Amino acid sequence: MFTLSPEEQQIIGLSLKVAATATLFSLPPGVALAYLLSRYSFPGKALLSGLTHLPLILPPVVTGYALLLLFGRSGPLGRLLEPMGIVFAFDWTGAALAAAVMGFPLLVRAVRLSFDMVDPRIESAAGTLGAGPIVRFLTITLPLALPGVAAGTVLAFAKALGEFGATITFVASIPGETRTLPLAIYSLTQLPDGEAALLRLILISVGVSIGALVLSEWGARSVARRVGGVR
Amino acid sequence: MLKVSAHIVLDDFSLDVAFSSDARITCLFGRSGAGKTTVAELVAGLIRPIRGRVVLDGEVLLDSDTGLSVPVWKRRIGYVFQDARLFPHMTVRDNLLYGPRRSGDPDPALDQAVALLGLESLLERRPDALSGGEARRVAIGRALLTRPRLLILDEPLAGLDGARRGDILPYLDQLAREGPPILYVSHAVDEVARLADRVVLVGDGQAVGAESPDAAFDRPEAETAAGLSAPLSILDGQVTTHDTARNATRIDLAGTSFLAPLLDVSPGDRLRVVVDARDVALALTDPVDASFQNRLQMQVAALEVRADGILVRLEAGELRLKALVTRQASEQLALAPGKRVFALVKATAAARYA
Repeated sequence: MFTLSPEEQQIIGLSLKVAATATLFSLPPGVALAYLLSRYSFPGKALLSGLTHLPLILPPVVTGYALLLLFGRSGPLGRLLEPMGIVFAFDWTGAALAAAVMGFPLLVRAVRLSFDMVDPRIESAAGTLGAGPIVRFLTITLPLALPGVAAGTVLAFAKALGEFGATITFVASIPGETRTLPLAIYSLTQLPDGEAALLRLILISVGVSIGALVLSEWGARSVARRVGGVR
Repeated sequence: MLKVSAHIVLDDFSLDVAFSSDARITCLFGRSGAGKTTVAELVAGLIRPIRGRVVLDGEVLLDSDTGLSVPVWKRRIGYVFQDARLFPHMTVRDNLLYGPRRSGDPDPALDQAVALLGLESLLERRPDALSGGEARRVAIGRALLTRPRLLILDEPLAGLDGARRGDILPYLDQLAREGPPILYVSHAVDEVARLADRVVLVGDGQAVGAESPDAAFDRPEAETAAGLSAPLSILDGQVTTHDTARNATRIDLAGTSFLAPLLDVSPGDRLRVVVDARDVALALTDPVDASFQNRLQMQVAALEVRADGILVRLEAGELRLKALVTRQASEQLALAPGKRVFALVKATAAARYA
């Protein structure tokens, strides 16, 4: 029987916590930004869109280093946030931030595409029935785009679960704090006698990934079914 | 009372709008692409004009001088789009109740709308399981349930075949009698003739008027707008007797008795008869042995020379009729204003539209 050691349990727990936190916190701004990019045109839109996609194109190490410069203890944003009790440097929250930033473009892209698919004429029909912009968004646009939002969430979560480069650059690999599954696997590859433990961890990683994928696919599909009528 | 004046500029055309109407049914009439829907969208608040003013029942909805524009969702104007635009993720029932839920209407007239539009069997369906005619009926019901001050119907019959039109027309008739005032967008003469109390002609970058259908169709622009090849007389009347066996209907047209073969009417019904000016012949004496069932003694009011002949305007009391004859015919009969003639109309030439 395959039993998990306390250390392994702790790694899995941390990985899921980091990925879930990253996904949860990037969802509201991601959806808002996707809606903005889908429905409005404004000066600087191309720039904003490009900036959003930057983590997708840049080497993750560069993104991680940029985070370190910005959110490190001496970084401008890090210093700004520290008095409020928000610290990212070498903390699991930093790992979540790195995962969120890396997953953000995937989320925004999927959600934006699904907003693009929602017919604005349907929205204007809701307007003539007495729905203001916010109500219209919540009752028409968002439900119709929900399958895309679900897909984007799955993507972002998967990315967060596997994120390596930006995380290790930004918050290093601190056992129990920032050492998520990929980081733990990597550090085992550096040990001369870590092969058995490495194999176990790889199997766990595959299991967790498949489990998360199946679960989220099921979730996305049930959302799509409930909303219905949207292709 | 709806008053609209505006200058609209869209991508590739501009439109000057000026009309006011307090009729039950006001028709925006014109060719496809003339800008009818644009005018409707202006009234609903879906587009903004360069400058303009829209007043409904004394409330200013738009005034470019003061910068006032009541947003769409606060105008309480129902809009039935040509493409229905039902919400695909909701059942018919939820579509119908969308408006009342927004306004917090505690007692939406759901049953009433369902009965009026025959929606009983559709309530639990999704929009993608509806036919075109059913979807439009649901869209009408959905707009009605917001208790609108004005209902805009954008080509509610366009693209439907004969049977589906027959599905909707009776509901429109009933709506016209019981519902809110209607702004009806159409390019079809028969619909306008059947339903309109006032007609606004839309064409050549203008939307002006709000006249009676007969007066509106008397304009040369109307002929172009409608794609007509001859002027029409649109006559309001009331059924006096109806002989079902011989399918012969006697209609009182402003005091003149008129025979037409109509279906599904009963004495007392108010209706409109449309007669093409080419279907009216003239005679100086009463041709009693001819087959014309309508031989109306009338007086020539005016003659108009047209490219395709002479348009003879006839009158008898309140009744106005137009006849299009050739120049030769006009000379043979020595037609001149004041001359007494018999207007000959075959009963089968009279089309019924209401």
